[in-house]
Amino acid sequence: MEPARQKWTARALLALGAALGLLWLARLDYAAKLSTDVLDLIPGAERSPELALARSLAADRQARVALFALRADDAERRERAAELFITTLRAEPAFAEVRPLGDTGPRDALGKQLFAQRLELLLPGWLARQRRAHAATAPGQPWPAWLAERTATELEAFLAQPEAVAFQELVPADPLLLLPGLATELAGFAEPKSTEGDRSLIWARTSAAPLSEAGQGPVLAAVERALTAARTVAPEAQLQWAAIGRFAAENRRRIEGEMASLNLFSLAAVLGVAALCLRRLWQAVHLVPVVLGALLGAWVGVTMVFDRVHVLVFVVGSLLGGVAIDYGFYLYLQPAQRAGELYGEKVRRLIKPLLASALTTVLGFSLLFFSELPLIRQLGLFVSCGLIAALVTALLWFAQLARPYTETRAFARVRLRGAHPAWRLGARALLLLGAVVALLGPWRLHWRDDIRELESMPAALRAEAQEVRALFGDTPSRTVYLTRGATPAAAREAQGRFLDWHARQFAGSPVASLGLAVPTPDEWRAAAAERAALAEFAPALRAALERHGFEAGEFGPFDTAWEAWLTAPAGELDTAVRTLAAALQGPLALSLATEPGASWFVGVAEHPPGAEPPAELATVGLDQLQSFNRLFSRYRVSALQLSALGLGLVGLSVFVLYGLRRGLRIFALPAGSCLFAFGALGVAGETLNLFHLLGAFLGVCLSHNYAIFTAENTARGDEPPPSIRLSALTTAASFGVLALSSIPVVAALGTMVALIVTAALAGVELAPLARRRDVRT
Amino acid sequence: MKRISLLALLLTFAAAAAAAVPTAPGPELIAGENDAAWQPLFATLAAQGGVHSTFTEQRWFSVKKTPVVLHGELRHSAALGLSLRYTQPEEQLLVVDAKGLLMRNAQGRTRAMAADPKAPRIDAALLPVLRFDLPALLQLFTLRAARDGEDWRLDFTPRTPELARSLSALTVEGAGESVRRLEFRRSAKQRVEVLIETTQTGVTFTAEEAKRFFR
Repeated sequence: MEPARQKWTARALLALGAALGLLWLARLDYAAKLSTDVLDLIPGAERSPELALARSLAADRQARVALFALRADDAERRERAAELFITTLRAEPAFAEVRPLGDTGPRDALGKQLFAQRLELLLPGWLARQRRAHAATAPGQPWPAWLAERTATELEAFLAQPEAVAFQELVPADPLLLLPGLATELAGFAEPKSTEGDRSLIWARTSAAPLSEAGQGPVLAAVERALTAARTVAPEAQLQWAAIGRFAAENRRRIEGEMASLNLFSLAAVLGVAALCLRRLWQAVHLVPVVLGALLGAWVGVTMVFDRVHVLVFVVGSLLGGVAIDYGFYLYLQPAQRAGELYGEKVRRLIKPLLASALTTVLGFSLLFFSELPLIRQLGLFVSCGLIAALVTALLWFAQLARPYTETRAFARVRLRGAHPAWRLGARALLLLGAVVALLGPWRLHWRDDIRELESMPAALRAEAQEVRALFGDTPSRTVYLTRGATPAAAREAQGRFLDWHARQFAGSPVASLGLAVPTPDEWRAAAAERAALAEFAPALRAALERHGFEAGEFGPFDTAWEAWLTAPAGELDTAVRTLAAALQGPLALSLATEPGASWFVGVAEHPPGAEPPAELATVGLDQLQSFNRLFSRYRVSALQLSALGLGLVGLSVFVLYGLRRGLRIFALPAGSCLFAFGALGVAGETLNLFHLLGAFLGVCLSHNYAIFTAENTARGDEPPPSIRLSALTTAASFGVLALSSIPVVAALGTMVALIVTAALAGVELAPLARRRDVRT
Repeated sequence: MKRISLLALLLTFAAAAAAAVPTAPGPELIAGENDAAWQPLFATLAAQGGVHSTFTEQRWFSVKKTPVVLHGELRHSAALGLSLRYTQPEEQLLVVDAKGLLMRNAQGRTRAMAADPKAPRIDAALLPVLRFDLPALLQLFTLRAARDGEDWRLDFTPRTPELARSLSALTVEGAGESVRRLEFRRSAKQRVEVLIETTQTGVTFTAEEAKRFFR
């Protein structure tokens, strides 16, 4: 192609690509496209049902809860301030429900509903227990008569209990003591408390989901206004509060801040190294389009493929600059082989190592697309698209330059050429030391995955949330369980099995749950089938009550309800549970769910978390953090397998392209550098996580580029090209910036890649020195 | 529901049988107006120190033809709170203190309810009664007082509907410096009467007793 035509063709293609890419990005709805939700890092169709449930739970009801602790020294002022705070917050559209924690309304509503459904919900379980006692103690006696006598005996004993006076209004309607029995089992479950020390406790539910914009900004503003109102009566009032929306907003603010600053610093570091090493400073500008093209391609690719992209991908993706610039360096720093060599000839000469390095890296990263973890899939695609875009941009950009070549400063090209044997011995000693670290250090590694490391949450905010939750009863000495099922009946059945397991495992620590107010499906069916046999119970009970000194005539309310129950059609258990659920208010509304496919009961036990329920009990401890951490550990193993497979493919492609012997020499550099990095971190006592592993994968692909470029030059009898040194330095600089991130996983990734490329560069520099005598001979 | 059950606890202590206790409530006692004549009695009762009594409790229920009778021991200390140990018909312990309410049965099973200063229940209301803390009592109750010689009678009516729901009306009767009878009355057929039998004042509870009979 004519140079002039080639120039304009390249410019047209660049302009077209940039225009299309920018157009695509301009029409995106970023609020819907980008996510800062840590839950979006977990697969929507997570294969562990309990984690999928925990995920949906966290994303829905419980996520909307906001807990407030208003502190003021003077109790009277605090009380008025709390009232004002609540009144103001109730008037805010951002809040759907606001209650003092001590509000007895939800508990009273529950009591009223349970009273109305006492025979429907509580009787079947009571009958089952009595049946077992009858079978064990007096199987020969007629069932209704035995039951009536036992009921009267138990009622008589109950009247001598401390709580009997409190239930005296209820007894005429409930001589079976269904509600007092449940109240005993639920002790502490619905116990409201409005103050804790010098703090008033307030429970609230936001109108919008906390991970949406409507669930963050307006909520924060509403709380601010409510606090201002409270301070009109108690100027010293201090507010502590915990809400997922608050954390999500803070997390988003910090991650977005990180994204801007890290990308900026990373770009500045890369360009700074380039400007330092290039002879003509301004020529570094020609590397900028390569980096921008890579980022544009990556953004377009990932936003085209994924409906929702986690913002962390773009933070971590800032590393792309350090990789993309490699191709720019390699093309730009290669001098013409002869005077008048055309750009097309130069490209044909360099295209093999360029394609080999780019495509093998893309191949490796493409494998991440098969990861279970959305973040890793997105990252794999982001880097793959970015590298392809970088290569294409570099080829086109330099095609439209009049002089597509620049020189480095002398120091950037200088080679270590010590003639003295001490240089060789020193280089060998260093390489040997590196080998020792690489071989022994990895055995000292420790792995731990913590989902919190994906967030950028200030420690003070985290501590405040912990303190507030403790005030509301969420303490380490209490374990909360969640038992799930496809329907309320299935969930209750599973909870029955769980309660048996829990009683054996934690004897003396019963589980309090609203599930105890619901019969198991077996109990429900048995009660329905038994109605005919219970027709004689009411007259037998009246007689037994008279015998025990009761005024049988006082139990009219029970007689009426009993008659209605006997004649009512047997309904569905699920319907009965949903009726109960519909009456729940405030915090109690979070204690069970009856949605088809996602029904569950919450259970609370007064013991620290211990043995975990077996999977078949369909119950999970609501310590979601641990669950997610286990999940991440599992994903690390999955990522390790994928990385190993990817590296295998990279190695295989090198062997195919360069033959076994050269391939081995090429592959030794990335593999050795990677092992050295792991070894160094092991020696330093670092604890590694999933993102160290991802960093290692990226580092291997990068150092693999250097090995290929070095091998190409060696084959021509040249020394390693200066582009390797610049590439490694820019990459180390950009990843070094990432290592400073306040998001632990980003820092992990940056540290790992910076270590590997530095080790690879050291390998490239020291290897010729170590074998210098061989070269001379 | 559960908090209401605390009412039963209240039924505790008192002194021996009554003589000519006034049969009707006296005039309302208003701090700073007509309470001077009653201050010495309240001061004396408040300064009794630790109290150990035996009592008989009779509970009348609308559904029962005869009262349920319970026997037990009452212990009270300003620092430890109130302890009601029922010995008949079965062993039960009920403790009311600043932390709330605690119940422990013969098998050692314990149930507790935390106190809530914002919403005082029977447990929080009972302590000022037993301490004869007049300022605190006047915050929670309307107080009527009547005297006939050495015999006296105090009628407490809760000021808040929440407290009234759990406590209804409380009458404390005594003679001289002794409390003899308490009555928690919802209606003629729903009431609890506590007759105080023997009483020791100025008692210091040992560590063992504190552990066994209090929280």
